[in-house]
Amino acid sequence: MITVDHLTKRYGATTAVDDLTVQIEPGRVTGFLGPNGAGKSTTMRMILGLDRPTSGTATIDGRPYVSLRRPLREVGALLDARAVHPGRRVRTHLVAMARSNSIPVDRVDEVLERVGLTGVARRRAGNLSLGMSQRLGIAGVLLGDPRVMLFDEPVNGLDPDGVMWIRTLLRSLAAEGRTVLVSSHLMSEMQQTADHLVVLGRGRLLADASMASFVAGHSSLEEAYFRLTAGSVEYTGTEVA
Amino acid sequence: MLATIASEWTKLWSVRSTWWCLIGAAALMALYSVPLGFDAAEPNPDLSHADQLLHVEEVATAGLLFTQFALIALALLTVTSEYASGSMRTTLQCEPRRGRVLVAKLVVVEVVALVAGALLALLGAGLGYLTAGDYGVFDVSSVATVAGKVSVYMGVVVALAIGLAVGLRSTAGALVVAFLALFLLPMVLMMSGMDLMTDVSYYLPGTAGTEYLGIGIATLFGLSDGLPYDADGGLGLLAGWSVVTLLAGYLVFRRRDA
Repeated sequence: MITVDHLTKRYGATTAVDDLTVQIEPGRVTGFLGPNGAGKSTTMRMILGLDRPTSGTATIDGRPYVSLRRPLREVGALLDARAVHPGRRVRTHLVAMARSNSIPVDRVDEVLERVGLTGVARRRAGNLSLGMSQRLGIAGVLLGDPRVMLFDEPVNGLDPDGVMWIRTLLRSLAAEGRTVLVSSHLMSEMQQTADHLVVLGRGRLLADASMASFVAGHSSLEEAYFRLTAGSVEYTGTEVA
Repeated sequence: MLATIASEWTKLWSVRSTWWCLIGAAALMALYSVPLGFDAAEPNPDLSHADQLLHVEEVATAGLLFTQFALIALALLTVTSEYASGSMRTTLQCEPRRGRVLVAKLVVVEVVALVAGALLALLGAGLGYLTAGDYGVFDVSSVATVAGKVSVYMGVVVALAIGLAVGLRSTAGALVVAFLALFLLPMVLMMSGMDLMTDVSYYLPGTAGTEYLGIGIATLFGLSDGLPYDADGGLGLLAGWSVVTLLAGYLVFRRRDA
């Protein structure tokens, strides 16, 4: 379980996350939605101890990430699939991660098999397609067999087979009783994957509801989402005449 | 802690830049020592044999003035390449205690610097001797002493480099500052001819470090008389710079968002 308690992050005059309080429960896929700049990634980084909150706390099963020993065994996170040293080989990247948390190296080959990257294990990470990079990132999440998992836009760059694969994967991980938090901009995809939704707008919590109750009264998740976030979109383009 | 060090060790040797830096260091040392050796082998007939002997341990230290930057690049890339690719976040997910990450990086870089420093000195001395013919003087104990000094010097300098790297996060930025502090700035200040600037230059890491190595920049400019410390003092001052830079880098590393 992830507990976010009155979490606030300010960068100078802008408030990226504004007094956010929410709990991400185990055993279900929680979709993390919101327009660009709503504070989803910032919240995830604060949960992982990468960014320091201006105020408030984020804990995993009651403990801040920074206090975890061998954290990969408790929390797996995919933030940015491209954030891998481009010159390092796929397998070595995972071996280095495994070593840091005393995870047996055999586990690396297991997760490579699970995400379908065994055939490119010796390739340099910089030579992977975006879809393959996502799979490498997911391998990193699975590596420590953690009970809590965070995915920031995991379907970016995946082909239809890959999208289907990750949908099945996320659902099965949640079915095993894990806490699964997934951000995405793809509403139709989210509608098929998530059981529960947390929606942010301008750093504030707009909704924390089950998929069924969120969509109730609307034709689709997309429509419900647009209604809810209409006043919270910060970055808009203009229509082409 | 051991797990984090093992992880950093794996990371260090799994990127090509580490190997290129080591090859580059060896090549630079060869580029410096071989011409010097050949030059010594063709003596000036107007001078005596004894006056033109090439003491090869001096080749090694003088060559280090340039060569060191290849090892400095190796050291700071362990940090800055992770900021460039974004993989510092992965590193901090594996070990969120930043002090431990910094220590682990420092340990693996120190091992490389201490070993590579000694080997580079031996390489420079060896190549100098092989090319200098009858004029090369290879005194085993002098060469061994210098190899030890170069090893210690590199060990201290890479700590400075790691401090700069976590403080500045950018490869180019950290490399430029290292180049200024260890090489260019002392020379520019000494060339100014102004007393105040010369006094300041005495306390820069480059002046102190080269004094320790016995190839003092101050000596080069005929200013060694004014230097307020000896060779060991030079090492102490350089180490002081490294400690302060490392501490400042650690504070930045700990406070700033990754």
